[in-house]
Order: sequence, then C-alpha cells, then structure tokens
Amino acid sequence: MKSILKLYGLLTLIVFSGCKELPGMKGQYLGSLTDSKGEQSVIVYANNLGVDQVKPTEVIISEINAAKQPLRIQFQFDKQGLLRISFNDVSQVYNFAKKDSCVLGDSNTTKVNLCFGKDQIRFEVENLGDSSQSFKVIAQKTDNMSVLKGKSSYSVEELVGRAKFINYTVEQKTQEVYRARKNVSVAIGHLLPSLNLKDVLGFASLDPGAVVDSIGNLLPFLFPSNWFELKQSKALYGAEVKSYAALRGNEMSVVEGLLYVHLRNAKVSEYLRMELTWLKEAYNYILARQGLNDMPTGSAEIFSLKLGALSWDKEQIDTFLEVEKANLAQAVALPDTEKLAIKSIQFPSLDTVSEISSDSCVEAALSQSLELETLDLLFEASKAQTEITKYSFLDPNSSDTIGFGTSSAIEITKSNSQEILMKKKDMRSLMQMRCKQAVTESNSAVRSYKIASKNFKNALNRKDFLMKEMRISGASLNQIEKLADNSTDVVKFASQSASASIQYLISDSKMKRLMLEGFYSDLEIGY
Amino acid sequence: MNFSKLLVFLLAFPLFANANHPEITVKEKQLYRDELTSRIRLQQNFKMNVKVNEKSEFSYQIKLEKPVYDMPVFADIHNWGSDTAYFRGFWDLFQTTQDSVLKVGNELLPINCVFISAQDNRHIENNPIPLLSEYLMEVYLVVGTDMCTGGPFNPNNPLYGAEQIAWDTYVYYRIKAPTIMQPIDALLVYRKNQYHAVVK
Repeated sequence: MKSILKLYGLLTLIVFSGCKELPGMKGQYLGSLTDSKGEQSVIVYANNLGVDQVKPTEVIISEINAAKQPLRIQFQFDKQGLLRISFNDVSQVYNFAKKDSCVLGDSNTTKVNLCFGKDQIRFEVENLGDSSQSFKVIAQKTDNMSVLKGKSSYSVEELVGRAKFINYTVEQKTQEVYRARKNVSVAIGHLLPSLNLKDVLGFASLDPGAVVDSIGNLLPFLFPSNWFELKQSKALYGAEVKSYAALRGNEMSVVEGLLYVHLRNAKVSEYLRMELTWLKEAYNYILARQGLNDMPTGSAEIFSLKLGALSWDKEQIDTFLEVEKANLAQAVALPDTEKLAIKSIQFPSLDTVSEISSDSCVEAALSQSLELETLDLLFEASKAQTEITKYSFLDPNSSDTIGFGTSSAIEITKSNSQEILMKKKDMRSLMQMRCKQAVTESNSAVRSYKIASKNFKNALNRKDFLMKEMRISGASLNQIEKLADNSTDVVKFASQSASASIQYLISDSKMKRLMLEGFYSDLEIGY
Repeated sequence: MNFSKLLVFLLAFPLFANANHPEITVKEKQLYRDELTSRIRLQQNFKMNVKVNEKSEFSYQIKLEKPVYDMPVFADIHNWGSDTAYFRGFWDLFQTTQDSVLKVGNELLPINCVFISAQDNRHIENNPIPLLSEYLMEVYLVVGTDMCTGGPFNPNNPLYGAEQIAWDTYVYYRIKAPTIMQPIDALLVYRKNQYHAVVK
C-alpha cells in the first residue's frame, strides 16, 4: 500500500511540475514577414510550445508560395541547460533570457526574440553582421485562412501555395486531423494515473471491490488493451496526417493543372486578339478600296464573314476565361468578386526535349507514396485492433467479455487487416498506372510540340511567300483572303504549340505529385 | 528567320500590333502626292501586236488639273506577328484638262480622269529584298466618263444591274520604278476590248 502511494505521489510530481507548456498557443497563425526585401504574407505553425528539455519547440514559417521552402526554427535546452536554436537544422548556442512571455536568445552573431501574446506570435531575428538577413514575423492565430491581404497579381507558385495552405477542402481535413490528434492525446492520457478523487478515496478505504474498480483508472498501463489502444490511435493519427497530406497534394495538383490550362487559354485568346486586329486592318483596307471603287462591291462584306466567325470564337474563349478565373479564385479561397490577375509564365520550348520512360517515376512513387503509407498505418491500426479485441476482456473498465463471440470478433478484425492489404496492392497498381499515364502524356506533348512547331514554321514561310507575292503583284482581294487564311493557320499552329507546352507542364506536375518533388516535397508541413 | 525563337517569343510574350506604327502626317501625305502620284508620265506612246483602228499603236497626252481628293487616301496592313513591318496602300484621283487625249489609230478620245492605286512596299519586311520594288503603282487613264469618282469597279454592280467595270475605254499600266515612271504591263481597254501593249 505504502509503496503504491509513493509511486502515486511521484507520478503526480511529474505531471504537475516537469513541463511548462503553452498548449493554447499551438496551431496555425497567419501574418506577415518583413525583411530587407519588403513585406510578404506568411503562415506560421507553432508546435510543442514550451520550455522543455525533452522535445524542442518548433516554429515553421512558410511563405504562401509552393516553390519556397519553409524556414524551420527549433528552440531546445540541452543537458547543460544551454539554449540551442536551429534554423533549418543548423544549430547554435544562445545565451538565454526569459522576459514575460518572450524567450530571448543572444549569440555572438544573432539575436532572437520569440514572444507569445493573446493569440499572437511574434518572432524577430537580428543578424548583427548582415542586416539584410534580419527579419520579423508577426502573426495572428486564426482558422479563417481565406482572409489575406490581396495582391494585384499572383504567380502560379503563389496560387498553388494558397491551395496548399488555404484551400477550403484542406481546412476541413485539417479539422479532421486535429480531432484525430486530440484522440491520440486522450489515449496517451489513459496511460497516466487519473486524478479522479473518488478513485483515490476508493484506494485508501481498502475496500477490495473499490480497488478492483479503480485499478483500471489508476494503473491503466498494466492492461495491454490500453497500450494497443494508444498504438491504434497513433497509427490512426499517422494515417490521418498522411491522407491529409495526400489530399492537400491532390488539391494543389488540381489548382496547378487548372492554372496551366487557364494560362494556355489566355495565350490562345491573345493570339485570337492579334489575328482579329490584323483582320480588322485588312477589312478596313478592303473597305477603303471598295469605297474608292478599286474593289468590287461586296468585297468587304465577304471578308467581314471571316472577322465575324473569329470574333465569335474570341467571345467564347473570353467568357470561358472568366468562368475559369472564378473557379480558380474559389479553389484558392480568394473572394470571387476580386479580379484575379494571374502572371503569365514562360511556355517551355520542347524542341530539344527527349521522351522519357516511366521507371524512375514508378520507383519514386512506390517508395514515397503518401497513400501507401496511409494504408501501412491503417494496417498497423487494424492489427492493434485485433490485439484489443483479444485482450480487452482483462480490463475491468471494459464492457467486453470473453465468450463464444470473441473468436468471431477476432476473425472480423483479422479480415479488416486482410482487406487493407488488398487495398494496398490495388493502390500500388494504381500508382504505377498513374505514373505511366503521366509519362505517356508528357511524351505525347513532346511529339505534338515538334509537329506543331514544324507546322508553325511552314505557315510562317507561307506568310512570307504571300507577302512577297503581294509586293510584286499587288494586294488583290484574293491575295488578302489567302493571307487571312494563312494567319488563321499561324494562330492554329501557335496555339497547338502552346497546348503541347501546357500538356507537358501538367504531366510534369502530375509526376512531381506522385514522386513528391518540387511543389509537393513538403506536404505534411504543420502536422 | 529563326522560327523556333519566334515561336518561343510568341509563346512567352503578347505582341501588340500597331505599337510602333506612327500615324502618317499631312506632310508625308503631301510627299506621296508630290513625289509619286502627280509625277506619272504626261505623255507616252505604246505599241501592240494587233491593230486597233487600223494601227498597232496608241498614245496619250494629258495635263493633270486639280486632284479630286484633298489628300491621297491611305490604308495600312501590318505584317502578321510584327508591330513594325506593314504594307501601305495609297490612292489618288485627278481630273485632267480638256486637251488631254488618247489617240487610238486616228481617233482622238478625251481623257478626263486619272486614277492611281498604289502600294508602298518599303516596310513589309524588316529585311526587304532589294530586287523587289519599293513601290507599285497602277495607273488608269479614263476616257469620257462621268464616273470619275475612283477606281474601275461600278458601285451599282450587282445591286442595280450595272456592269462590274464602270468604264468603257481606258489605258491601264503599272509602274515599279518611280524614278523613271516607266509604264509596264500596259493594257488598252477600247470599247471593253482588252489589248496588251508595251512602251514604244
């Protein structure tokens, strides 16, 4: 009895006095980073905040830009009680001071100040040798990630970055992950002695019935089902994180693909605008000549049919561009009344690009796949569930009993595990198929670009030929019509080249999503 | 021309036609008239390989009176995909004095209208080929018409049943060398019959 009470007292001390945590400060913050280049919006994740020797406090600062790597800063006390601060795993010892709710670090070269206010985080780094390396972050804790300072225009990286952090669907998933993470915390709590006074009193009264009742609460780690419950929760939490990351990657991939298609359509609209401008000039020329009786009556009207047909095409594509913009704005949580301006990109020339095989994509995808890791963790959770089913009858707090139904229950959980293994096999096959599909699309884009490029060259040669003919023999209606038809060909082949370039970018993006490279290299950030 | 570079350029940047094409000034318009349209040969003999009015030659003699248009009329078409290369058309119309005549055989016919349809090829290509002429002018010397309002096409065709060509008799030729205004590809259209001719 005395030894049990001593153990209880020791455990109480550990619970109350060891860890100075700031649990309310953990989470996601939105704010701005100011440095020598100016101010930009950032998202800040604060994990495990507190002065703790066991686990570091981590602050992750990320620009809302899928191409930029986040800055990871860790604060930890080492065994000598010295404060170590790491910037992307490069650590340095700092003199430590604590003032109100701030942690102050001072080394020979850098001063660091991390402060927590009411739902606010403030982080300052002053580089004493190079002021251009200094920066300041101020961020507010908020769930409403769609409220960000607007910009006049956004690059592809910035919009995909918004999809990474701010996408509505991802936010909902974030809540699910949070709930899963809370369940892990609750499961961990089961392993520590509960501080229910009734149980303490029951223990002290020496009533055997009370001891049997309370032992489940007080010493839960004796019962393997509780250990398996924790393992199951941890595995489930891990699966949630991986599947969240996979979903995030999928949303980003959709946004990236939509952006490229939109930019291609904008390019085609521009080509159509150029052609319409040319046709209007040609029409005005013909109209002038017709007005001077230098061309037959009706020449301008015949030519205007070409203009009319193209004007219709331009109107359709411009309407479609507005619809696309509205969809894109919704996908990246921008207000739909805001005029979304997207910066143009350099469409890649594929003249010297060679076709590739799918081997490297398949190998990387299968070894790193978030989906497969999710299934692995679910399998682990399902195995733990089997063990819980086997042993739960031993826990007096559990309502499970051993009986004729137990073996069936065990068989059911075993069959769940088998089902997950089968799903994993299907998933592997699906990953391989997706890789091959992306590579096929990429190679097709390379071939198509080369054909379109050749046709474009031929169309331009034809244009030169016609212009020379016009120099020699004059600008008759027939000649101008030939030039108009040729300009349509030039636009067609230039648009085909743009489409091939975009198809290449989209299939490259799909491969990067599968291999978790480029924009998709850090999908689990924040959890 | 490096087509790959042009394609990459087109894919990378939007091109705006007319960005660098300045508006033609009144002074420049006057220059076209003074140096080109009003400097056609005022007299010329031609020969044909057939006889018309018992002779295989014809000639004209004209004096230009006042121009019908205040200034020559201009219209430009850009070279597609370029904002600096363009093709320019220009037109002018003169009335002639009463003693301007076309002599076909022994017949003297009054010329009362000179219509010029021309093009300025100097800016079509950024690297023009020297052998291709900088200017091309089509000259119509029109006999006895009350349709001296422009070119040969009848605006009442086909709506009011008129013939497509408004003129009965006229001389047509081209000029590719404005320094000497040498007529080439000449045609005599006499009572709607067409005869090829060369400078005599």
